[in-house]
Amino acid sequence: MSEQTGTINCRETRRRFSALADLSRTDLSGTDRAATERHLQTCERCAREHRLFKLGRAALDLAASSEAVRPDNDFYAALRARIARGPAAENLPPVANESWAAAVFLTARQLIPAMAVLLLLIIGATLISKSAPAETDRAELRPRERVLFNQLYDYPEPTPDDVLETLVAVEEKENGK
Amino acid sequence: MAGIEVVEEEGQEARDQGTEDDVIRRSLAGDQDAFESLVRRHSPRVFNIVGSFFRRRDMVEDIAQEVFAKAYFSLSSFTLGRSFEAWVARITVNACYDHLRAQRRRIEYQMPRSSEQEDEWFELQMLDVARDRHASDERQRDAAEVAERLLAKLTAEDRVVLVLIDRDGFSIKEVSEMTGWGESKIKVRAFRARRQLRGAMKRLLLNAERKQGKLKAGKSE
Repeated sequence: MSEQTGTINCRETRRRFSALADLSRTDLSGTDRAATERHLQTCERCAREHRLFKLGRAALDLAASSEAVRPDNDFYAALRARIARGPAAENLPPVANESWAAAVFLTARQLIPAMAVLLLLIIGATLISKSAPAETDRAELRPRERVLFNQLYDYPEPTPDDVLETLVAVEEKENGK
Repeated sequence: MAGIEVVEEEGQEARDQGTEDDVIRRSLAGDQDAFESLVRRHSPRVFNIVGSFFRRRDMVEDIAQEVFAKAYFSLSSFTLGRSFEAWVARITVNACYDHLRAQRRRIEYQMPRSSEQEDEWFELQMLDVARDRHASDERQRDAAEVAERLLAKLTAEDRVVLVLIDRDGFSIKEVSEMTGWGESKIKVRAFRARRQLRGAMKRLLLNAERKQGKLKAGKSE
C-alpha cells in the first residue's frame, strides 16, 4: 500500500472521513472532497477503513431517533403533572423550608459523615499518589496506545520508553515472534 | 458596517439574556406559565440531544420531561446571567448518561448470549440496512436492535462521548462543558470508544465477506 496516493496521503484521507460523510459541512472544499474520493478509489486500505467508519456511523444513527421528536400538548400536560408531584418523585432532595438555625443544625449533622469520607479520601489519595503515576487518564492507556493516541491528538506525549516498547513490539510482530 | 452589526448582535444577545433572566425569576416565584415558556424555548435542543441517544419516541419524551422537571426543581441553583441553554443541556446529557447506564445493565441482564448463527444473521441484517436507506420499518427495527446491542458493549461514558463528537459534531470543548468531564478524559474516551466500535464493525464486515465468499463458491460449484 502506498502512503502517498494521488494528491493526499492516507493519514489526511482518514482525517477527512467525518467531513466526507456530512455534505452540509463546509470545512471540506469541493477540490479536497474530490481528492479524498480519488484516494479512496485507489487505496484499498483506506477504502476498507472508510467502510468501517461508515458502518460505525450507521450504528450510531440506527440507535438514535430517526425523526425529529417535538413536544405536543400532551407533553406539557404530563410535565405539569410531574412537577405537581414534587421533587421526591424525581428522586431529588426536597426544597429546604426550615429556619436558618434548623438549616445550620442539619448542615452540621450532615457534615459529620461527609468529613469522615473526606478524611478517608485524603488518606487514600496520599497512599495512591505514592504508588501511581500522576496522570490517571494517561495511565489508563497502554504504551502502544499512548504512541498512537499522541499521533491523533498530540497529547498525552509518549515517553521515550513508550516509543521503544512500541518499536520492539512492531519488530517482534514482523519477525513472527 | 460589520462593526455596527456586531454591536447590534451583542446588544440583542444582552436583551435576550435579560428577558430570559426575567422569565427565570418569575418561574422561581412559582409562575408556571413563565416556566412553560422556558420549556417551549429550549425543548428543541433537549429533544435533539435525547434523540441522539434513544430511538423510541416515548422514551425520548419521558427523558425530556425528566430533564425539565429536574430543571424546575433545581432552578434556585441556577446562576442568573449565565446561559440557561447550556445549563439545561448539561442536565440533559447527565440524564441520558444515567439512562444509558441503566439500559446497559438491563441489556446485559435480559439478553442471554445468542448463538453464533443468530449473531451472524443479526449483523448481516444491520449491514444491509446500513447500505439501504429505503429498508422497511421492520428491518430498520431489527437493524436498530443490533446496533443497540453493539453499542451496549461500550460503557455509558464512552457512548456519550462518541455520540456527541462523532454523530452530532460537537467539539471536545463543547462536550467538556456539557458533561463536566475534563478534556483529556474526553479525548481518551473518544479514542477508546472509536477503537472498540471499529473492532466490532470489522468483525461484522469479515462475517459478511465470509458469508458472501461461501455463497459465490456455492454458485460456481
